[in-house]
Amino acid sequence: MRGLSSRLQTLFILVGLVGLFGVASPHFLTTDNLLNVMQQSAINAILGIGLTFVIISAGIDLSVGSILALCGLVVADLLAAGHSPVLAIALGLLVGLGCGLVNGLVTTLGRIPPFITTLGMMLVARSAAKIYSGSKPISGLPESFRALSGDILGIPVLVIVVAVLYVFAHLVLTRTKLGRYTYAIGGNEQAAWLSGVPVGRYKIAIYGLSGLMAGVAAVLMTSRLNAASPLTGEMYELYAIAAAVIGGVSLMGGEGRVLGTLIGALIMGTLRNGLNALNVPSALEGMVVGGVLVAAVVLDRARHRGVAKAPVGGWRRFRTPAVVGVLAVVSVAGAVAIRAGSGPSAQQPTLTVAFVPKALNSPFWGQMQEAGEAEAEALGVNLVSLAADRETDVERQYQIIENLIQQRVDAILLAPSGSKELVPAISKANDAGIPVLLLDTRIDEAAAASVGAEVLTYIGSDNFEGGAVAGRYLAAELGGVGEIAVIEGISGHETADQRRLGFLSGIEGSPGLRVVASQTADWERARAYTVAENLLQAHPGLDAVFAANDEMALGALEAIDAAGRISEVAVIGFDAIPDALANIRSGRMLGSVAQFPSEMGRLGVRHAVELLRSGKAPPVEVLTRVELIDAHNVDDFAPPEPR
Amino acid sequence: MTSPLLVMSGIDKHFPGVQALASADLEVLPGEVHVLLGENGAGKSTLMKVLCGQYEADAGEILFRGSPVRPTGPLDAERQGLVMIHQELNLVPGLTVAENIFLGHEPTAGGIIADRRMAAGARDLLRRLKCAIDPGLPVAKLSVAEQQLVEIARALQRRARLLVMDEPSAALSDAEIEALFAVIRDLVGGGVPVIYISHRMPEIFAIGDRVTVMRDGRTVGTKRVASTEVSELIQMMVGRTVADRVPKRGVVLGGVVLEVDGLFGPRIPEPVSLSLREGEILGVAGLMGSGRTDLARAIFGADPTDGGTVTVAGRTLAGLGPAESIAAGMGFLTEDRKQQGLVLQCSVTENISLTSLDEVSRAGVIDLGAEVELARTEVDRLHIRVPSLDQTIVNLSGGNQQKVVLARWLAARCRVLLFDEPTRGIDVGAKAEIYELIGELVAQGVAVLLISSEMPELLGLADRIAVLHEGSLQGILPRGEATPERIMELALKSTA
Repeated sequence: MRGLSSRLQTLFILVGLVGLFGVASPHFLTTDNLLNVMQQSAINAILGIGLTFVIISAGIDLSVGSILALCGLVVADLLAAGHSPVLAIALGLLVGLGCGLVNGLVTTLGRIPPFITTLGMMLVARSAAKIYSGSKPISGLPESFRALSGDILGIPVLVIVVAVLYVFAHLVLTRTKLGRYTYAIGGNEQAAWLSGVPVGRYKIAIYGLSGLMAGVAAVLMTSRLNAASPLTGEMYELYAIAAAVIGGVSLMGGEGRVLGTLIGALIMGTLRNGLNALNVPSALEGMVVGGVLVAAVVLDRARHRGVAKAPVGGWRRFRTPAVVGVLAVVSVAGAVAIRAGSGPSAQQPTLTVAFVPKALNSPFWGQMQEAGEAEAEALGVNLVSLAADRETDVERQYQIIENLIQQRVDAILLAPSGSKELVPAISKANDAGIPVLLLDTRIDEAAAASVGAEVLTYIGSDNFEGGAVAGRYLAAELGGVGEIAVIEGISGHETADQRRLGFLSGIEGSPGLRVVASQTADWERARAYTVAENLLQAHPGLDAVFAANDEMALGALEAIDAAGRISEVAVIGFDAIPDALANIRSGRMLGSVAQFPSEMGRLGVRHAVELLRSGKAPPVEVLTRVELIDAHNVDDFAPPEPR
Repeated sequence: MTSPLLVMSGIDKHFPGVQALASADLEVLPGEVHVLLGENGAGKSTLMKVLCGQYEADAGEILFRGSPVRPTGPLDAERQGLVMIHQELNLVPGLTVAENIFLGHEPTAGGIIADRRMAAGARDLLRRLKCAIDPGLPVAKLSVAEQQLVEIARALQRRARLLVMDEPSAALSDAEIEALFAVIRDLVGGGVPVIYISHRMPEIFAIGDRVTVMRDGRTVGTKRVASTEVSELIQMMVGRTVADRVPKRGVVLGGVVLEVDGLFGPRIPEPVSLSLREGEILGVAGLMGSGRTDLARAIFGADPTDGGTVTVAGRTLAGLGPAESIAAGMGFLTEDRKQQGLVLQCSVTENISLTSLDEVSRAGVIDLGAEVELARTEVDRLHIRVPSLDQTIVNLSGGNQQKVVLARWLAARCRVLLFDEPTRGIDVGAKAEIYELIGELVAQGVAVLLISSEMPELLGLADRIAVLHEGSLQGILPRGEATPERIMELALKSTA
């Protein structure tokens, strides 16, 4: 009885969504794409198994995303060092299990709410992952390990693993003491304990299981991306919780089934894939997935209130699935309508080029997109732009490329968010005969060579030269003497490294300049604010800050202003985004190295179309200009907007 | 004679399975401390909750200051001047004294809380109670006695015209009780009569003007304290006819199976020693707060103890908790089946097998067929009326829920069973069935420790009755010597 209606309800949503997307997009209802959806839901589904057990026991586990990153690095590191895959996998799983057991032990022995314990583990494991890897992705994995992300009889190994795990988890939950005690502990811990259930021991086992699942997910994801990065899996704990909750697992504990979670994960995967297929702007994804999540819980609550009452009859029995169905239809219809309203859908241009930046959260990518769109329109082709929400979500970008392959786009313009992790995706595009052109960021050549992935060209700034320009300019401004702090981009990123190294080479000729600190702020403005605050505390004599992009420069600028030292500390950024230019104009910021993202977008589209139309291959490397913008030339670069 | 301030007449209140109040009456005169006395479950608290708006009466009438009232909730009652101070105080520990006193009635100036006015107001109110607590202190820093004064001050702030105090002295020292009495006398002198609920005989004689005794939801009678005595009150509290008795089966007792030796802990201040033989029923009597449940939990290993041993069938427990006790052959039917007994979202089968999963599983895998078999055996034996074994527990009646918990312990084949109020909140038919079952169990040689607030239950079933008062064992009465009066004397410690 338990959870039956809830599972039917979620199954109903899933089937409804699949049907809807099938009608709305010709690329959705194909065997390949459906396997694709399953593959893309796999990691979430596996983490969801652990979360299902934990949540049924009335607990929570926020650490699985971080544990996933740590385990992935352990596996990748051992493999890269030449150890056997069996050993690497075993140790990776062991690390996951260990982290989970620590969660369980601390929670039970310390009598600490699991929310706190696992929040702690989330931070600790993430930090451990960064330390372990030196904040750089690890790649160079043997071919044999890649088999885990291959096919068996046309079915992806990932899908097979998920199926096996779910059958097993279902049996454990329904047929074993561990499963039964999980329900009893979540339903009434006090009663279970007084009935002789060794509550503590089983809780430890449950958290251990959740950690182990994170380990399994890590092994599979590392194989899929052919690399591991300390930044993978951010937010994944929340997606896994969402999958379980959509699947009818009650956060109050004592209720739920793993099969519900599987359906929940598939619903989330279907939504993302389907919305991609409809070219819905990725910013809308969260709205749809979030809406479904909240709707699922509202209905769950309604079901709970109904429990004590008499069994419902008549149409009321169908009320819940009906409401869910309507909500899902409305969400998707809304998304479709937005898409229909925003794009010219009357005549399909013959060629479709996809533009996949790291994210669409900054003017830099925005300018690139706009110029690309203008060029596409001029050339009479269709440009599709899709991006992950965060620049660090490598796996999401990977999925977007998979989806674009399913849609049979004609070419992909890619700004890879991981120089190693995206290589397998590029290789898949190659296999499908879709040319890939890189914008802004290069990929790791060794990683590409190891799987035979090919890109046609790199179109982007000379980042090293840009850094050097900034370095020389600052040296001149400071008269060759002073204390400088560097705020770096994500370590291990090719762009970040080039800009930093370029900057250091630019100031090499001035021995009086000292770099007193060099820290990362992950490209983000808010992080840079915090980093700068700390730098200002630690270095009262600071004269200048070089930030590897303007977002971070602006974050630092605000922190400096808040500390009242804006007249003492000069800030130089990179990218020359409008916000930075305004600050240069008003004299708050010293300068910024301009790149020409619009040039990248325009050239990217032009070269792609030339190749497709006339078979003319682009040059291997197209370097776009870099130029230092300061108060003297800012108005020439971009005239102030009339007010 | 002055006309009464409050008249409650013919108050009925029915809860599922229980008639809590059956035409109860109460009259309170202006300017008196009126004591409400009765055994556990006699209906004192229910009657007061009806008065103060927490429950709505099924029938009956309340006249307050000459006009009929029918409070729709505690706030409504408060507005009419009827305020109750509960045993568990209702203060917010993190807020200050003044904030607690004015909670929900904060004086404001333009939407901003007027802190100074509030502090001054609080100080005035506390001064009326002759106490000098700093209104700016957080309540968490106060002693229980001080917190009680804050509650009283709050009641005064609400302009209480009648104050109900439920066992206010339970957690106070003698000196603090004296101080409290002084405050009560002042209140009464100032025109606020007090209804005082207590079990403590000496207090009744110290503070009460009149006393009303309740039993089984009815009012037995009202006496002037000055013209009554302890034995008369006890008689009124327990006075039952022999017809109430529960039949006792003759059982031949076997060897000692439970031995408790010098057990004490945080809530059992004096060491308790007792033993139980196969086939024996040891009743445990005592009033609310006498530590009966604490004793059972300590024996079962559910609460930590500071010393003493528990031996079950020759095996001395190491204090590892319930799992160990169960392995040794002990079972514990808790008082509160919903909070501590049942897993409400689970099915009948799953609840019954919870303690016995080991018996029906191999290598951690449950044999579902054997499990259902196990559950079915007990369901049949206890005549549990369920549409299906897969039925979730939530939807069962109280009596059937209780039988499911019982079934769990029967399935575990315990040799010693601790029953804490096994018949609370269930209907008469189910009660009789449970008595029958307890009789069967002891006939099979199981030893039973039976905690009950129902005197006939204890007198009818038990071979001996242990009586507790404030966590200490007052004595164990053999069946022949156990009379209601004797038990109540020990429970009230009125002869000590």
